[in-house]
Amino acid sequence: MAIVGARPAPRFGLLGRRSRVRPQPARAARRQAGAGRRRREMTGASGLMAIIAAGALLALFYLSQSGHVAATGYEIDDLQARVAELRADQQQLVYRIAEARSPAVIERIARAKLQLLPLPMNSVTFADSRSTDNQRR
Amino acid sequence: MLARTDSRGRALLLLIVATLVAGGVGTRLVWWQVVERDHLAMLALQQLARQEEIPADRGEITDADGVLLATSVELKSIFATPPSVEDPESAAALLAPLLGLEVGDLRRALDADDPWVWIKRRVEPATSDRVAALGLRGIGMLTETKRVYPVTGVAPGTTLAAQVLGFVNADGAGQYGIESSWDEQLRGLPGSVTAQEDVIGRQIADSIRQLTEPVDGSDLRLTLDAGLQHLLEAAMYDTFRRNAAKGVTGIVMDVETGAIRALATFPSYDANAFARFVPELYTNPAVTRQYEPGSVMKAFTIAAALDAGAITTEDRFRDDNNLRLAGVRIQNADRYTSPYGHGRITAGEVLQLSNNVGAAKIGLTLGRQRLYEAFRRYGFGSPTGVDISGEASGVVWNPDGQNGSGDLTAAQNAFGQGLSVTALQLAAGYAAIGNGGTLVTPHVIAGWTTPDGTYHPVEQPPGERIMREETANTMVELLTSAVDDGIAQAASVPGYSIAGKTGTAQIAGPVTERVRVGTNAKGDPIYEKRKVTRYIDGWIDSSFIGLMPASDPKLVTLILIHRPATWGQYQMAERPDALFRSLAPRILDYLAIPPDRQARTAVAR
Repeated sequence: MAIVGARPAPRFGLLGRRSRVRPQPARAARRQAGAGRRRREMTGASGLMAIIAAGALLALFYLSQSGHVAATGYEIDDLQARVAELRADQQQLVYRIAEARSPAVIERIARAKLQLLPLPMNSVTFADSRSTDNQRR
Repeated sequence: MLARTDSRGRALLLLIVATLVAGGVGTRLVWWQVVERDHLAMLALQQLARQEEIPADRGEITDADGVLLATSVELKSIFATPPSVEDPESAAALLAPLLGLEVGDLRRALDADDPWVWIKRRVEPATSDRVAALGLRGIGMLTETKRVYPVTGVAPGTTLAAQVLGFVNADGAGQYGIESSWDEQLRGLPGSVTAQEDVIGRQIADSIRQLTEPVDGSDLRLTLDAGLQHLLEAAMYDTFRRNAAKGVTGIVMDVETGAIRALATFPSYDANAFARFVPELYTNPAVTRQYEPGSVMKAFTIAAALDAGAITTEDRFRDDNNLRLAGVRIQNADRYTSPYGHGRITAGEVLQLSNNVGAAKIGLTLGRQRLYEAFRRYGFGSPTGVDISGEASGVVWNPDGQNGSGDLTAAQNAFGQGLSVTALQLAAGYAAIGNGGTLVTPHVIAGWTTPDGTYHPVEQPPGERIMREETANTMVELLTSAVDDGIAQAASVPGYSIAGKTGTAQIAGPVTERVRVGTNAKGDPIYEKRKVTRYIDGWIDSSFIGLMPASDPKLVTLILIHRPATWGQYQMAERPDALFRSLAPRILDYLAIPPDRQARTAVAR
């Protein structure tokens, strides 16, 4: 295959004899055709380079995005762990509140700390609704 | 120097070899990359990806007012990888006091050849924080869920309503009580995630392949009232100690709906540390224990006879304290004070005197088959259908069946012997008397809330009419007179009408007796010591059931004292009717049920 832009190689016969040089007018026409071909080939190569560069850019973009997603994933992981931690703390608080609201605990505190006593039997008097109605009238 | 033709041949050979090698490699590449691609991808995924279960949150249990009775918390469990522990001795010395373990035991665990061992599971957050702060190599922590019961019980070292609630074992399965019977609804459905993980086990964010969200369990709302439960537990625990009893049971139930407002049993346990207690305590005696009820059954005998029109309240029955049936003599409990009985007595007086002979005669007047059928209709011999696991059915023998003894069975059943019931069956039966004759299903679950926040009330089966309303009303009157004028006067509550009945029944137990097994050659009797089941003196079940207020019954309250310390003629430190007298006003005050008799003059201070 010919090298792009190179001069045509000298042709040798079977016995190593130099081939005959062709007339000059044909060479100029061929040179013009060669230049056109070279331009076309140059354009094709640039396009290829551009595609390769674009591909590389895309690959870099993908890698950076992928890395970013992975990093964000770890951040989410950490946040989820924190949420779980806070949730566990909240569960503990709910438990402690329910424990503190136990009637037995309240009674113990009321008796021991506040020196309170249960009302004696029959100490509650219910209002008679009928007499209340009469009073209203 | 090689000839030109040699060089071409070699080049050709090289080309062929290179082509073959390249072709082989290419073929192999096509094989792995195209043909075997899916299989290899799957193998790679299996190495990188891991499926993890996402546990569902177990539902909470609250009382009727939303007081939290059971919930779940996440706690740390501490483990060790012994090969990684650098200095087991010092690590054990540091950890043991924090975790409440023996230093020697811990050191042995850390010295072991095992690659991985639990040190202590589900420790308190403060403890796990302190362990983490030590930063010991080879000691790690995992998060585990623990079911907790935050409301403290009245008795030391117990939790409120432990035998109603049950508990959840280390594997997360509900055991006993509501935790067992409603396990499916409470536990929910676990989810799962399949994702690739990095070298330290963290999920890689963009690799998640499959995620199934868990469905949390439903929250249960009970009919129990924590305040009322506390009142009942306080009273029952007090009498449990004072009577040095083997066990006590107390039930407060709504007569109209069958909703159990409080259910207390002792001895009880701490559901947060259930493993420290004997398994016998896990069951709920109110539904599992069958016992001979004694005189409280007389109300049902009379109700059955009245309902069938076999007797009227005016009819009289001769009580001579001596009824012989099939060679067995039936006597009254007051045979020492009234050896010849009470003469001709009415059904009301049978209840007032708690008269065995009179009740037996009423039962026989009704007829043994009709009495048996009535008892079955009243729910005895069948589970009530309560939503607590492990309910027993009780035993009522057909007097004409294989285990029956004809009229003797009927006569004994008429005053509450020769049959067994559960405390809850009795409460349900008295509730039917109190509500006008409808047998309702006792229950402790009011409803459940699904994770989407929708509340679903439990639909109870419609009650079954088991006696005419007129009969039920008459029975309430007769039972009221039993408290006002009968032997249950100790149960009367100032300001309130109470309809109720006491019951005392002996308990059978194993005794060693000399039994005649034959005669020897001389004709002398041969005796052997054998273990037989006999009623044992002093072993009793003493109970009281009351409807309050009798003018418009709202609640039925049962108090049962099992094997109290007794002396003399079944004397005990505190009788159940006396306990009722002190407990009932507290219940009525708590529920703001106004007096239905003469207003009290005491003024609140």
